[in-house]
Amino acid sequence: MFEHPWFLVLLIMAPWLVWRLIYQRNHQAVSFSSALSGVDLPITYRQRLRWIPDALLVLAFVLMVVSLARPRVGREQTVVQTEGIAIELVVDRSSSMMALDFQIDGSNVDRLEALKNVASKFLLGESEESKDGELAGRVSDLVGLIVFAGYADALTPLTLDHSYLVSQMNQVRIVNERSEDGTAIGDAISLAVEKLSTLDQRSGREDIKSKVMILLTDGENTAGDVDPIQAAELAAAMGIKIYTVGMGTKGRAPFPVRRTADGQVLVQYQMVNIDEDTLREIADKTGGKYFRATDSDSLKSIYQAIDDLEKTKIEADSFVDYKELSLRSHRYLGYSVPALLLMAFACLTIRLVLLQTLFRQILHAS
Amino acid sequence: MYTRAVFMTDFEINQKESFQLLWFVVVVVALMVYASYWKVRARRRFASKEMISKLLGDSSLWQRLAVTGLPLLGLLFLVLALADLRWGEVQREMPQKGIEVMFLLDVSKSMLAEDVKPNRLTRAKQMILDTIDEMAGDRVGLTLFAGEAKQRIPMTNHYEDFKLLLNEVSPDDLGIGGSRLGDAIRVAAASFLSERNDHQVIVILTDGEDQESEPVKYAKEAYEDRGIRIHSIGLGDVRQGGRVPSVENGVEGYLQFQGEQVWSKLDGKVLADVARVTKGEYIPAGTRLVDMADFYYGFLASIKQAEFETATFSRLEARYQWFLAPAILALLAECWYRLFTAKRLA
Repeated sequence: MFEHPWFLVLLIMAPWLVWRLIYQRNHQAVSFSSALSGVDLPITYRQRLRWIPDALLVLAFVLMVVSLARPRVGREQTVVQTEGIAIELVVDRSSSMMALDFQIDGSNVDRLEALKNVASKFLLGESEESKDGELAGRVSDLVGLIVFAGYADALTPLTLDHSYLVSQMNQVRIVNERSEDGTAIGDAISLAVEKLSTLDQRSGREDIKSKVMILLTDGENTAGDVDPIQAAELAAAMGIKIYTVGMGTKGRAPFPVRRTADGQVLVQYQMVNIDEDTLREIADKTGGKYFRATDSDSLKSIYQAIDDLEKTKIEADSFVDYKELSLRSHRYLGYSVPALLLMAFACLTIRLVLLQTLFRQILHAS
Repeated sequence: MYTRAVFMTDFEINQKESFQLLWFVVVVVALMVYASYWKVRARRRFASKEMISKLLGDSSLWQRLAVTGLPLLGLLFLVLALADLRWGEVQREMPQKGIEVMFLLDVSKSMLAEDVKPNRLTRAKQMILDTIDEMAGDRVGLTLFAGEAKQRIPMTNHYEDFKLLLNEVSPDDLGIGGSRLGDAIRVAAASFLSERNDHQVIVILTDGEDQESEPVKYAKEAYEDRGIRIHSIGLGDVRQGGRVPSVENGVEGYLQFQGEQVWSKLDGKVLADVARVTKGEYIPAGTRLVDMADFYYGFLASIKQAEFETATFSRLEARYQWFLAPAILALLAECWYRLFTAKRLA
């Protein structure tokens, strides 16, 4: 019950205080020319009740010493909440993502496929037990998905349901209509900014301290109405951090042309370009970081770096902790007992009020 | 019971509202100022300037400060202690003890009757919420019933999640109308986590009468086979009853049967029987407000608790003692002053 019972030793001072303050009260004397006129004066109720302030003082002392011994019971439901992060994944699906310069398990895959693979590990974790150097999953973070080519689309809202998000992401295809093709980086960023900045009102969660966007692209801004740098400035103003990832090789990259009869994919090398300067500037403006992914491994290490940079503090947990009886009211034998220190505070305050009003004295030192 | 929701940070002020107490300190200071003004005038009336210190003694500035300043200092430290400041992480292991309570909530149409304000269902939900507010460490679950019974929330100690889900419960959650209490008791009894049952309770909240599904028989079974106690709370007016609002073809009206309005009344006989055979309690709430804290401490908290698990967690250490100790010192110093210094002045 008591965490530090030894402090209770101080209670032996209480009887002594009662003795000295109340029973042995010094009857203060005032020199007066003649005391005769006071002889017949009746004892007033104030004189009778003069002990009350001192009694309150002793009572407060007892309560405070008991509190100092730290009485507590294991009956306080405590919820430790997660300080979550909201992450918006912004993924390029323009036709240049078709380039086959990434590998999964030894076979060549296009950039979008490689990205899906790593991003789902980033969200769900690589294996059941997390080891060092592996992605552990972002269990308690809100994650949303935006894809863009010539236009930007919000595929999922920010959600904790990551398997839903991953299944949505796996259905994303590279654009095949020329009219939709393009790389509207600026539009995509501003859509993500809008989603992230309206999150507070929508979810009612005020505990999201950190808002992050991971922008993945392999090209230059070729479409859309918004200039990428302006969009980044908007993000910076809203306190949103943007990590930018430039994907693929610069210069010549293998693109699939057609499949031969025996299943081999014929490739043709085409010139591609990543506007690294713009991506770097976007990251710098918003306090993020620019990464360059040239193969699956480097893409994974980029996600690991972001994983480390954006640590979620602790997961939500609900358990019973000690309740400090000095500070909290407690139910005892059917009665609600206020916090001990609150009672002590009340005693001392009432005492001081009484001393300044009902029992005030003409003597200075009282 | 007091529930605390916190983020893990390096520093916490858990009871910020304690700073409101500073207003009392302000009042005390104001009274002190007023009293000292009164004192000066009273002394002047009592004696002339030359005689006054001879007659009444005088005190130095320090002595006056001790008399007024020390108690104020003590109060300020007390306020700081009460603010419950915490810092420094400590690891703690605590056995998580409690009981398991399955709430059995009637969501039949008749629960929409407004003889209980705002309606029976809303009141029943509020009663569940009020009960949970008293809990610490107990596990709660929710089973809904009408013409069928379904477990809605499995046993959990995440009260916040429970409350959110409970708020969304409506009569539309179950397809079939009716009030099959017996089925509900069977479903609820089967939904407890462990086989040890002396810490398990079912609490029924309903307005209803049920003849078909033999609730008393199943209640008896649950108690005799598994030791589960059942408390029942009856809602709704006993004599007149209440009409059941319903919307038909877009027109708001009241539920009708063969051209006549249905008046739903509380019939507590079955509920009382169910409680009796399980050594539980029947509470005919009717249209009254019931203090669920009394209900919890009277009938639930007294049951033997089970130990679920030992939780290991790290929390910030409460530091109120650091502020309490100076407050005690200030108080003792003031006493010391009164007893040994002030006397000589008189």
